[in-house]
Amino acid sequence: MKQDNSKRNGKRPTTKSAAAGGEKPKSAKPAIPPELLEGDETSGSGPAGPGRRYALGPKPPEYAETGEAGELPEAYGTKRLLLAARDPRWLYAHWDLTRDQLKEYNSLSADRHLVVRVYKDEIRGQAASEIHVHPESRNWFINVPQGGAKYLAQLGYYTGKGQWTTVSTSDATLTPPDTMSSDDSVWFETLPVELQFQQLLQLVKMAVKENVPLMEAIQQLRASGFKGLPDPARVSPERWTAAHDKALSELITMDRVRRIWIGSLEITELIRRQLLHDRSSAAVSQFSIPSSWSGAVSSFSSPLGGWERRKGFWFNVNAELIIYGATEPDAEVKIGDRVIKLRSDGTFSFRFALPDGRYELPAVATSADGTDSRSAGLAFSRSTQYKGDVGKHPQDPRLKEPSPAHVA
Amino acid sequence: MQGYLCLVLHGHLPFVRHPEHPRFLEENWLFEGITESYLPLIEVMDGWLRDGMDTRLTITLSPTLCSMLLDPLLQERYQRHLNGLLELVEKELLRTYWDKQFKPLAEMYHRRFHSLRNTYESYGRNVVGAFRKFQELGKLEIITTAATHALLPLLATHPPAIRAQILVARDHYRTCFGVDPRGIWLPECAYTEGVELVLQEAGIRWFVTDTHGILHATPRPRYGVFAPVFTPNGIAAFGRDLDSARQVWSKQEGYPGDLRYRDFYRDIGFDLDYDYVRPYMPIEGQRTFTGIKYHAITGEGEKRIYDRQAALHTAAEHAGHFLGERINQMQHLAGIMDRPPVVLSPYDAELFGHWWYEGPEFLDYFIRKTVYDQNVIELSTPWEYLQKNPTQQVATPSASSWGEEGYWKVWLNDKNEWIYPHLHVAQERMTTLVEKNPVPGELQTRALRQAGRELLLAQSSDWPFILRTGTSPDYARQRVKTHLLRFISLHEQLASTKIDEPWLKRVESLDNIFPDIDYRYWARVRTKSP
Repeated sequence: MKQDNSKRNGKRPTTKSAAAGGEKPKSAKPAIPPELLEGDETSGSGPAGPGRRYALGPKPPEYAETGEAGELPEAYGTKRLLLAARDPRWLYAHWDLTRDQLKEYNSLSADRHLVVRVYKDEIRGQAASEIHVHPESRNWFINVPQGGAKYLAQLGYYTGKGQWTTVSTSDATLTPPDTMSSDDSVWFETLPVELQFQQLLQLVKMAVKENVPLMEAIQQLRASGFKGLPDPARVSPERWTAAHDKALSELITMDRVRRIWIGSLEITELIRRQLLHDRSSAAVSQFSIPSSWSGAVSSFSSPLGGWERRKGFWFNVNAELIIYGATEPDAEVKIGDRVIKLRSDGTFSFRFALPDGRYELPAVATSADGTDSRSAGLAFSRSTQYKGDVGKHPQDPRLKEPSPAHVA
Repeated sequence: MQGYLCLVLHGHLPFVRHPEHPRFLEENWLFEGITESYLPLIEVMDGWLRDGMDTRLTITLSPTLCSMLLDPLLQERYQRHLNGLLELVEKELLRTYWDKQFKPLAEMYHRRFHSLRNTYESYGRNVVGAFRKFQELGKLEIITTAATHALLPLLATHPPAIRAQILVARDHYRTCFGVDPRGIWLPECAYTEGVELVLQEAGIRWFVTDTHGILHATPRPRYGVFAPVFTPNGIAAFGRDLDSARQVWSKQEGYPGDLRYRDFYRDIGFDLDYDYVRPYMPIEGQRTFTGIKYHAITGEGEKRIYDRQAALHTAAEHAGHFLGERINQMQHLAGIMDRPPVVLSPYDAELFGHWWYEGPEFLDYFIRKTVYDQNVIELSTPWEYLQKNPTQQVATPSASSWGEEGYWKVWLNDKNEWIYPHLHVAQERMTTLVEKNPVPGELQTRALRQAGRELLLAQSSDWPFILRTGTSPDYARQRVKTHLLRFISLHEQLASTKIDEPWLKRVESLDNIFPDIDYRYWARVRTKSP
């Protein structure tokens, strides 16, 4: 941890002092008026703007080891399959198998790796998706078609005879809904906050069967003429019309919500990104890569049937290219001479294979009224040099080369 | 009055306390929070009180934050930190003596740090007690959050884990504020169905979801986010208002990014000679922020020197703009709705002052203008609103968070997913330990309590957040690992009944949060409904 800070920064520690207000009064040398040094060195391409949660400097600090030594176990060997919805379209699956257990199941599998099957609602009939996972992996992000749905998963493998064998079955998980409810029924209830839950629960316990939610229990009690309940609601439904509904719903649309999903993290990050963008567009990309794409890539990369069976050490490698961005939703964006379709929030993304070669994807955005435009000349090249026995990692066969012809 | 406005500040920091080191870099999170956000907020509220203003504000003080603010070791270290800042700024007064631009700024910091030290000492170093005073005077509603700010939906596979997070927080709130919490900030605004069952058990009456948590509720709420809904078991859920969020945060319209405001990153801790700032750095050989910053955000080109008067003028303009927008919004809503709308605007408390230096002044100007200059908006708290408006629609909110894209992606992705399988096993083991030790001896009780503390600390949403954002990833990784390893050791010791008392004593002294923790909360209970 201890080190010479000036070496770490790669420059003389005094060089920036002028920018902050003058020389340190330490030597007999005549002090240079700070005004003369002003501008000699700027803060460079470091971050600027308002702060950010947990930032201790422009860069992450070097770390002093503290706490417990030792490593966490790779796995506990419970064989449990954990399935958790991460958002309306992605599930996270993890299987707790030790290295020996993995090895054993891989050897029993005709494909030499495990398979995760995802079912909607119940484990019956055709799986919603079937993912052949990497022989050494213990987790997978899985894309699912529907928000507001119940999913379950099975971990297992196919035997040589094509027979499915289950290693573990997950509990159900619910993907959050990503649309407004079609149920527009209205039920108002009165619940004074001064009445403690304990009192209320005591009250309803005597008269209503168990496992009825509190508000329903109050309603039932009231219907049966029970005295001593909070005054019933005085909201008259006839005062609320479809016109009211429309006027209010126009105030908030989910598109607007999606464009500014900003909580404790993104806010300052967005402002920072904007400032960085002004300085160097290249610096932006590191903040912008949605992590779900790594999941997307990995979950597409395996339904191709078996992995090549190898013994001993092996290495497969491949590369893909993702182009993504955003503009005003009503703008026109062209890649090459092809107009691309934007999502409703103005974002777009394309995924390509990236074989060896050189590729150019000029991108131009033009505002809806045609008065403003921005362009970017994206150019990529790949040149692979193999040393030793290196295989080509399987890739989604639907992916095409990066070319304007393939952005439709 | 045409509608209610509830400003909610969410004050939270993870539990960082390292008695094993004389100084520790990440303890600065707390020190910077106190200097730049919590004490300035207290000073602003004291000003409202002094001027006889009838104000309302809601603030979360997370159990981890309260624990640190009340911890004698951290109080001592904060006092040392503040004294160090004063010493440094006195050197700055000399260093900038002949400089017309920097000297007034050094003087500003000198006055500021002195004032903060007076405030800190006048409250007997008890920041929690200062906030409590405002609650007891009816000006502030203090709410709690999950014990260590765990992202509750990702614990939903094991309901006792959620129950322990909430009930430990409730108990801790009682020790800090002498009453039960009425509302809760669900960490990261993250809600999933089932959380409300534990809230009811804890006697909590309201929580906040992000906008789509209400908009996607079932049935569809009539008033959108402009009225709360009651969950079927009677907890009020308020939705975050979008317009007020955007005005503070959006990159196009957001206030904190104004080029006249103080830049967060240009700090003399990085700009000046290392030997000069070295005595004020927590770690030898490593620079960090001091809090003395002389530049404005500026934008393109050479950084301009911070102009305090211009920045304050901007804050006043922004406060006026924010109020004007709220009045327009409220009048528009009142014209549509058949009841007074409520607009709930939540922000991180550390935004005001720490990330956005002029934030406390913005808040001060905004509240003063609201109290004195208009009669369309009534400042309120969710509790007061519910007292006045006990009739609401019943609906089940939708699973949601205020993180990027609205769900759990920030806390569950390829950078941090490795945490959850360990938590999953540890949570179930904790429940098994509790159930297998119905009548533990004294030493077993201590070990069970410590296992609960280690599990809670490992569940903190801050660690996966930091791993994702990369601000201090090695530290976050090490913290998760340390608490899980300590939990694993305790689990082994309890299972074998050979408890290493000297080791346990050391770990108790390190992770000393929640001294009265009730480990029985991890036992399985019959699902309570109603």
